[in-house]
Order: sequence, then C-alpha cells, then structure tokens
Amino acid sequence: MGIVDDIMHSDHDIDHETQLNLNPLLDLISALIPVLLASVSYVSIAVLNAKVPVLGEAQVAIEKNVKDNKEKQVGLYVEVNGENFILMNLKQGENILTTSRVPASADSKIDKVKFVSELVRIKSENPNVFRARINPTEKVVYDNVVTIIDLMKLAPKGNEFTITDKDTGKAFVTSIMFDDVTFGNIMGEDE
Amino acid sequence: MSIVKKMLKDAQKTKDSHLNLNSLLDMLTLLVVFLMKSMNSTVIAAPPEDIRLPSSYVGEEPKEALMIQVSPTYITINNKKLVLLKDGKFLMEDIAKNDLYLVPAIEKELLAEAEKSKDIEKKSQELFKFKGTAFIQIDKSIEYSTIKRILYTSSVAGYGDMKLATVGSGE
Repeated sequence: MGIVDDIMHSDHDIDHETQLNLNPLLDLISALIPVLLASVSYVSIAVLNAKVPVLGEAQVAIEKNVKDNKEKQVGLYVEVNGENFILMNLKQGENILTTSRVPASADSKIDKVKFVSELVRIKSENPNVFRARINPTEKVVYDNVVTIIDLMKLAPKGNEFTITDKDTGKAFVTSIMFDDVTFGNIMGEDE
Repeated sequence: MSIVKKMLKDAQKTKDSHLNLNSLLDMLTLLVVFLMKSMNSTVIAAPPEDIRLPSSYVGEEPKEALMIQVSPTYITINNKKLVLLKDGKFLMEDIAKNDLYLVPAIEKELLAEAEKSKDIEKKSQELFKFKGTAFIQIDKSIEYSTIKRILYTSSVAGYGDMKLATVGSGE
C-alpha cells in the first residue's frame, strides 16, 4: 500500500512539471534570423525632396499663375560653383533684398559653418520665406549639391523661427528653413 | 527502502528536467521583430555597390516610385540599363543633336513609364494619381553637368518631383 502511494505521489509530481514544447518555435526563429540578417541592409536610406520645373500643359498654366505672382513672391537663390563659392540672393521678383557670399573653407570645401549661419540670419529676418532655388554650375559634384540642399532645409538645434500663418493669423514656431527647393537652372532660366 | 525510493524519485525528476528556453525565445523574438522593422524601407531603396550615395542629416523615408540610378559608368531606369557613361559623363552620341541637354534614350523610357502610369490613373478612376515622382540614386562623385541633363530630360518627360536618395546620418 505504501509503495502504491509513493508511486502515485511521484506520478502526480511529474504531471505538475509539464511544459510547452518550445523547440519547433525555436527552430523556426533560428531559421528566420539568418534569412533576415542576410536581407537587411545596414545603411539607412533617406530621401531629400527637390523639384524640377516640368514642361507640360498643366505646368504652363501653373507657370503663368506663378509668373503673375512672381513680383510678390520672395525666394532665396543659391548659386554655387566648382570652387565651392556660394552666393545667396534673397529676391522678390527681380529685386535683390539681401546678398550673402560664402567663400570656400581653407581646405577648399564648402564652409558649412558660415553657410548655415548665413542661412539662419536670412531666415530670421524673413521667417515666412520657404522657397529656394539652387543653381549649381556644371563642375559642382553631386555630394556638394546634396550637402547644400540638406543644410538649407533644417536649422541646427537651438534655432527656431516664429512663422505667422497668413490665413489664420496664428503664430507657430518651427526650425524648418528653406524646405521648398527647386533646381533653378534646368530649363535655361536663372542662368 | 524508503531512502532508495526517494533517490529513484529524485533521479526520475532529474531525467525529466528541461533547459528554460523562455528567455532565449524572448530575445530571439525581439531580434526578429527588430530585423523585420529595419527591412521594410531598405528593400526598395538599397543602391547597387557601385553607387556611393551622399549623406544627409535631414530626410524622409523612401517610398516606391520610378527608380533612376546613376553610377559613374551607367544609368538605369527601373533596373533597365539604358545609357553608358564614361567617368560619370555622357558620351556625345547619347545626347540629342538639336538639344544639348536632352538624352533621347532616357526620354523614351521615361515617356513610356509616364504613359503606363497615366493609363493606370485612368483605369483606377483617379484612385491613383500620376505625380511625376522619381526616386533618384546618384553616385556622389557625379558632376552637375551630367545631373542637369538627367533632370532636364526627366522634366521634359513629366517627372518633376525628385526624391534624392541619401545615406541618412541624421539625429
């Protein structure tokens, strides 16, 4: 009787320790990880938005409208040459409101610090201006074109501008500078 | 006798003991989720080895669009090799004779792609809209003289919304 009791007791103990068999799940995950590791690219790709004036019927109408309003519109025109000299003109129509020159740095690269400080200065004086046209000369390498567009879009940390919405009159704060970038010398204009 | 039984019982318990895999499984599950999350955008955007993208701090996540790739030796549209370049520059034979900025091979392909998209736009009853968006991957060493010809040709074909691919190094 004592033996039966003991056996029953021991079976009861073993039943209590039953577990889910996780091995198939572990097998599946172990197979999935190498597949995912092989297909993941470790470089994070981002995109910068930039526009090119388009030739077309719809565009002709838009361009006409833009031309009519051109006198009222203010935009920043950024020119850069193969020696990394940057010339910035804030224009309203054909009138130049502000001019800024950023020579290349001592190592003949774009002087990013001076360029950004000039951008911040112009933006602080004209917070409602977001339009910019970039006109690189033919010798400028793509890396520098992207650097300029990149620096124009967002102000460094700690720089914010108060914008007033024309329709609602509400003021809001943003660190976006010249986000609406167009390649200016594609269709022969701004040369 | 009862000592032997106790030992046997202990031995049986030891035989049935398992490794606790729960924490390992938790870790692996997290890893799988992380890897799947990092896969979503890079699959459409990963450039080929011979295109070194410039880096940028600002940038949005890439979305699917017509893909133009420009390496120092070739240009592809949607992975179709169309034009060969020499040291990142066009050969004169690839440029239109009456327009120094137009590249006919690229124009033809872009017009065909635009036509396809506009056709889909009509059939989808304007649920899909052709916006002339191109996702463009250009090697960072290419000069603007080449880029200008590509942008001009894209513009002529109706593609004016350029998404310039960069390697994100932002905060």
